[in-house]
Amino acid sequence: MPERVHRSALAARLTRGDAAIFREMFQLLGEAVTVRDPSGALVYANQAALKHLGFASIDELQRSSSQAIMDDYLVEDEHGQPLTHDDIPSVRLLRGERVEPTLMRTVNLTTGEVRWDLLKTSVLQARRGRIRGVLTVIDDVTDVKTAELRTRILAESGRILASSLDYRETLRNIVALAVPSLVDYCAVDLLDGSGDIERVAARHRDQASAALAEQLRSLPTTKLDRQRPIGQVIESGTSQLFQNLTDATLTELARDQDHLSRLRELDPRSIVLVPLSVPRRTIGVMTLGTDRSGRRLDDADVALAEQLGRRAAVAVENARLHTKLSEVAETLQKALLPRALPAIPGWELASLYRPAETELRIDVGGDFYEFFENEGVWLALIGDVTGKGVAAASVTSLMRHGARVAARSEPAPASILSRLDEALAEESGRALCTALCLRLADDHVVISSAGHPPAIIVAEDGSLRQVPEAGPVLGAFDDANWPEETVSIQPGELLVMYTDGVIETVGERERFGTERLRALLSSQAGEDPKTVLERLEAALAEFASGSGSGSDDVAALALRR
Amino acid sequence: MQSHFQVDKQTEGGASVLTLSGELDVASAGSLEQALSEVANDKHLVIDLRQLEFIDSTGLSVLVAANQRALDSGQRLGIVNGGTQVQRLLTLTGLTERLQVADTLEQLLHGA
Repeated sequence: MPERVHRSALAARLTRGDAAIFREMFQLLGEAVTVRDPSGALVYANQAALKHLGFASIDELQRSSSQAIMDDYLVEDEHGQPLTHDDIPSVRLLRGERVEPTLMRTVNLTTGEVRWDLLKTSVLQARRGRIRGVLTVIDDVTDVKTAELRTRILAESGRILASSLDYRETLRNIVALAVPSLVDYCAVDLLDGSGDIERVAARHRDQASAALAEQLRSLPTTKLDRQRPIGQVIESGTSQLFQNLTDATLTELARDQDHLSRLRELDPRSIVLVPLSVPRRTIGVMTLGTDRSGRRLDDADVALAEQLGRRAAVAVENARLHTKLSEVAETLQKALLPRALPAIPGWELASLYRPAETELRIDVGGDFYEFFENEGVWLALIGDVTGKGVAAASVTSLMRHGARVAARSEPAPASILSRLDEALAEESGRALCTALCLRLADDHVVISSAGHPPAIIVAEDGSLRQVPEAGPVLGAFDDANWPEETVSIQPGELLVMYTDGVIETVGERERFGTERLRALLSSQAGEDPKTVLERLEAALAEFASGSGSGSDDVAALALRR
Repeated sequence: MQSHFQVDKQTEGGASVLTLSGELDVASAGSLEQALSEVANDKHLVIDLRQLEFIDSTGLSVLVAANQRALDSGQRLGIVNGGTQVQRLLTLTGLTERLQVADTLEQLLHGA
């Protein structure tokens, strides 16, 4: 390092007068400068260094041993490993070791102040190569390191919060992020719907003490108490900082005698409680504390903790909302599909239903099907309602239940479609619905379509027929009617009804299309309905796999005489 | 393969012409509704589907609603039919018969 050579050569040529000038120069430097003599004693410190070490004069410094000064601090390297007196760069240099610039974190055990220092050392040589001392320049990089730490913590918290919908796991990860890089101890308590405070995550730096960590985690659930700090933070939504904890505060913080004795064991120095707030309410509290590290928490720590708290709160709220929505969707979906296919004498049935993948993974689609019976006559309905999600789901529900009711007065496909058209027209909004309605008889079916893709009948030799001609879509026109077709079905013939989602399935370059569907069905002649639909589902999945886009609703029914 | 939906508006032969391109589905129906609301008071409107690559049932419902509004307000609304998939769905659902649908823009501008 050229700088060191230069400085050493300069030092070697110093006269007493020169040394005085250099001392003056050092005094003016903003950086702290110290000199250690060959015996290891600190013999010189400029003004900045004296202030840094907490001495009024050089005399006072010289009266203290280097080890005694060190004892006032908790010293760690940049990875959090404790450093002893022998690890100090200037001491190592005196032993003849090669020393690179070293980053150190010190905590003043009296004031709790934290500093990050970059130490650069160089040898002061006297004549004939003898070491006269070691010069250390101490660069205070606290601001840079603190900002770096905060940025890293916030960036990582963003990653953690986006990684899972299991909020308990998310909170455990957030707590693990804060300990030990930011604080010695971190815990999260959440308020549940019945006013109970539940400990969801906790971690202490002292990993060796696994029992302690477990005790902190397994705190019993308690009632919210607005007289105590956690209750106050939840009620006010504002943070509480206890810079220098007293036993009285510990008593207030403790939930019971047992908890108090554990807190006393930890002997915390500073604690901050920050709210986990979402708009208009606080759903929990994050507690961060220092003990062994001796660091005193300050306003900057509070600001960072509050930011973590806000982010964690949003994650918790989103996860809870998602759970609720999923439950709603599941309930809806159960209501939207027949529980099981009925047993219809003379017919074998199979169904395929795959709702679109939406962002929230709420699997309610606009496609539907229904089997219903009136005085021994079986009918089937398959359809596709415009739109997606809960709004579409309510319309599919109307269609399915409307068809059941309509079948009671006149179990004919065309008149059922007509009733459904009326029901849809009465609905507010402009929902449209395509549908195919089918009445099953021993050797034939009666079928009617409202703007829906035709059914495909697969003969045993693989030849295909399409029925029927479609009438208009439901919900669009005032004066519409729907033609019916009667189609005879031979034993072993398969009738397949499907929604647009099947032929509109997006592949790498194009959509699945009617031709692919027809070819697949033709190749499956003679197979049973369940096998055919399983193969169709597999073919659609394979076709869509290269597209990279989400799938649409898909529904299909297969019936074999 | 999915391409973005776009609406371009120009005036031709005294009619406002909305040219749709890309895919009109549940995701893009809103932007067509927006464009339609801006031309709601125009006397003669043409929706040109020739460059439309795909339409689904939600897209159809926007066309049906536009047709209903046109009937109510006395607006003249014509639709230029699109490619294979668009034609198939318009025909299947009965829109080709019941709406003013033509194969070319000229038919709509000069005819009737």
